[in-house]
Amino acid sequence: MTDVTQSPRRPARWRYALGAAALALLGLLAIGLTREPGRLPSALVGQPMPAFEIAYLEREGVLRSADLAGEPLVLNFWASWCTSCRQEHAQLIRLGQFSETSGAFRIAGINYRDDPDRAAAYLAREGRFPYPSGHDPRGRLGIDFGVYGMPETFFIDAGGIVRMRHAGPLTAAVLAEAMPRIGVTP
Amino acid sequence: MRLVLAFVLALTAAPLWAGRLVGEDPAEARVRAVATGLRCPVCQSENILDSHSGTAREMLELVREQVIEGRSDAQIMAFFRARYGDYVLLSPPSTGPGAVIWLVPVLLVIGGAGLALLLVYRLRGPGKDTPETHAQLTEARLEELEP
Amino acid sequence: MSMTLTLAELGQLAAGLALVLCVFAIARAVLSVRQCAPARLVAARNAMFANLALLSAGAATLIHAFVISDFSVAYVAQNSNLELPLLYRFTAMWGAHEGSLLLWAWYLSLFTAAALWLHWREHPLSMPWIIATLAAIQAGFLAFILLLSNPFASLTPVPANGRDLNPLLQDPGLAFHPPVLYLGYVGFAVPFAFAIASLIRGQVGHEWVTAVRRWTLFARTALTSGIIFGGYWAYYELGWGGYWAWDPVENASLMPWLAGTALLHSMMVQEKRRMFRSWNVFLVVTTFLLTLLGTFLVRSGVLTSVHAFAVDPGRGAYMLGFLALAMTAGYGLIIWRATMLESEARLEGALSRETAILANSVLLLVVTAVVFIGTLFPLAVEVVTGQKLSVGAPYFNKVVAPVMVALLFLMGIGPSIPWRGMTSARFLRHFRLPFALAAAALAAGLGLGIRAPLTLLSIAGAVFAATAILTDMSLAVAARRRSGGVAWARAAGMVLSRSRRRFGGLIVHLGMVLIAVGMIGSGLFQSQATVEMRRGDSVEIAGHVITLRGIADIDMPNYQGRRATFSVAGDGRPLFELRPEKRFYPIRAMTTTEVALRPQAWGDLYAVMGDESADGRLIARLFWNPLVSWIWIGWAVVLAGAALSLTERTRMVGVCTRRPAPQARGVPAQ
Repeated sequence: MTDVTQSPRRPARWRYALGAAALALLGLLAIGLTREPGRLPSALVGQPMPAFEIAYLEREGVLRSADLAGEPLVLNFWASWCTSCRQEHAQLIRLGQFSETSGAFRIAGINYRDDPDRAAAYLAREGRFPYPSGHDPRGRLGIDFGVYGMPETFFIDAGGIVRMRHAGPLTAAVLAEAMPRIGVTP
Repeated sequence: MRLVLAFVLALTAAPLWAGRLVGEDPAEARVRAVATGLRCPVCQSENILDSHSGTAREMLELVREQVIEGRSDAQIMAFFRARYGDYVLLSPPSTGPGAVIWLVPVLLVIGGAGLALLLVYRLRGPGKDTPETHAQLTEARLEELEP
Repeated sequence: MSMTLTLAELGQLAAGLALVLCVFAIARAVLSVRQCAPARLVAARNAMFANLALLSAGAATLIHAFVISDFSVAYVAQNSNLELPLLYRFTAMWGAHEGSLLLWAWYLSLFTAAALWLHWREHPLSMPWIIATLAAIQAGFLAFILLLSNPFASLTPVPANGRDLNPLLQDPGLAFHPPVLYLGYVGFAVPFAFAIASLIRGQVGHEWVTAVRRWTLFARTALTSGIIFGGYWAYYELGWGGYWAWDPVENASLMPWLAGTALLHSMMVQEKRRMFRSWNVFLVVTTFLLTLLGTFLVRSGVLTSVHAFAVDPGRGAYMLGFLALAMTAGYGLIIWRATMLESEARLEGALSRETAILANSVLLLVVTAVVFIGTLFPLAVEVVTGQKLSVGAPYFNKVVAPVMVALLFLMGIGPSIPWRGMTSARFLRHFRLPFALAAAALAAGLGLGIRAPLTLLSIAGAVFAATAILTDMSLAVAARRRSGGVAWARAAGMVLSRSRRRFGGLIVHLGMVLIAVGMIGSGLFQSQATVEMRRGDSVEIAGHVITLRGIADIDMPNYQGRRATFSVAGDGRPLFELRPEKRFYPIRAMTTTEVALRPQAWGDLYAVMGDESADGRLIARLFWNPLVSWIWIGWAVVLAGAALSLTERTRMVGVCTRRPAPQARGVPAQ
């Protein structure tokens, strides 16, 4: 792309290269604009769910992944400090009730990097989940699941394989997409 | 004699130190080396050593635990890569699409050197300066040589 | 609605009027060429002068709104607070997206007016296109400001208090980083406009290069300063012991700097030797486009970055359209005029200034391309494969450092080789001393137990470049002393005042070597420790004994926090205290760390407060950063050299010498 790479006899090929490079850059940036930069695909999709044993929030005992095995599972990470968790709260309660009535799948919550008292106050205010939550005060389990923001929901099939991860509040549309993947008709 | 000397030294040093002399844990240097290569997933462009976020601190603690357990750097990196994907590695892995980025500088340097050589080769030859420019050049050159 | 306009509404009106004037100026300037009517051009010029007045008024109303805490202006309410100190109320004007764009536009109006004032008579034929280009850029920015990011927008109901300036920006270092950086970004618009005008006219000789050399130098110096300010801020504010993290936003400012540096050197070849024509127009267009790209990357949120700026897809789309337009104009014109861009002259020797500058250009562009590709690579991978990966500091350090070492050697060689060439025997003789000292440094490094090849080479390179530059300087002074029969000091003064450009260049190079030394020292020889301490515990780092004396609460109007006090002793004597802090800003619920920093002759002691445990133990990060201050000193030297070079009177050559240069010389705000 310089003075002498062309002479009157030779067609200046660098021109096409320059034009193509400029177009490619613009195209890349244009596609980039339509993407959400904060999205991070989960490395767990297609992999077995990490095993865990963590204490329950607000009740005695331990939440074990082994006890949840054998059935499709919805695992929801939530926290009282997360404002967008409030948006999906009603949806989660409905999903919990659906799990109870249909018995087609299990659902559990993980209270992530939270203070138990604040979490309890949050549940008292927003409404209790019809299913138990484990308590992950330091976010260790969150790291095992590759959690990077709140809320996040994992959809695990009956074979224990993670089929989908949704970051952000759950909506009916998300559930309509996710539940069939783990063999549940919504 | 040595004991006495040590005692005297300790006494004079005491007011300065007052407490105990704490050193860095020997494992800490390795923790740091590993941690600077891991990206904090919640803060996007920082490594987990420099980030103040809670997740980064917990990840750092995990690195520390694993270093103490005697895991190798590659094992620790693989641990986080399994959870967060390639995204967590600040230096892209040399397998998969990340390999391309390691080729880029090599190609650029070769291409740049090629371009420069080509230019030197093509531009070589006796000057075809007009008398006018030549006069200025001489003047300019004089200035450069004379200063 | 009240019938009287508020000041902010007046500001908005001024910006709107400025936009109209820009469109008017474009039309007049183009018509003046079409109809051969110079009077129309005068109208266009005056419109751009009026533009400066209007935007100054607009910026002034916004600053006024900040100073009086007028929270009826949404931007003020979002970025200020009654408790905010007065200085930061001023600087909050560019503390967020909307205001910083207004600053951009104001700079552009200032530079446009200055360029028209300075070059009006010298470049009559290019002037219409220069005005049209600058006015078009200005119109693009003003339309963006008014349509998509209006800093004058009002807020109802008026809040009782504002949401405060981002605490990270409540710092003198960062307060002045953006305006200086923008000075550099916007400064490159003038060379761009001159190049565009030459391309449109088909006169791509050396005139435009001669005219804009100092604009380029000014913009590049401002960009250097802006980047250094940013680094300095990161160093003492972010608390991780470094100053450069290869964050996309940092890369965005580095790319135009690299391309602009290549341009600055390559332009000399066109000016003195009539070569590298297309190379130079390519570089000037690329540099300006990179400043736009930088703004796009930072403001559109297309890349994830630690510098969380406002993200708005509409803004991103607009900026991308603007970038596409500028790219089409710039590269399109180059492609169109390709056949006119051939060199007039030939390269006469392989060992010549021309080839050294060519090598320098190529290396700088290789680094630019590496940074560019590395910054955009994660996006490309995501678009193509849907995977996410990171290209971070370890990659860039590994890849960029070797090229930088090569540039260090070139920086010593370049200024000492004459144009047209020298024999290799003379070359070796001339660089005897630098080569000898570099070899000695290499041996000394080996003797000290340094084994990493790149570390050794970087030390040798710094010694080589510094020696070569100093040799050059002393040779020039010695020659002057002999020929004039004067004392050393007087000879030095004469050289400094008579060949300002050459000496300015050498001084800038010397400053860059100092910066390189600081980077080598702090980047490769840093020591640090993370320790858990109780009161009275001590830690030894780089010959200093650091003792934790206590931790206390702090309570300030706009933040609360904790402050640790460390005493530092060296050689058994108490030296000074270090007081790092952790602060909590309640309005934005943000926690920041305040580094305690003590520059010493050979390095900085640097302490950061970590967490405290319930039983009174503190985690602290302590650093010894060797030679860091050399970076800041080097910057001052660069600034001095650039200032010296800028004060040289232009020796007009070629077609532009018809009139003597007007009195008011120099570039604004130098």
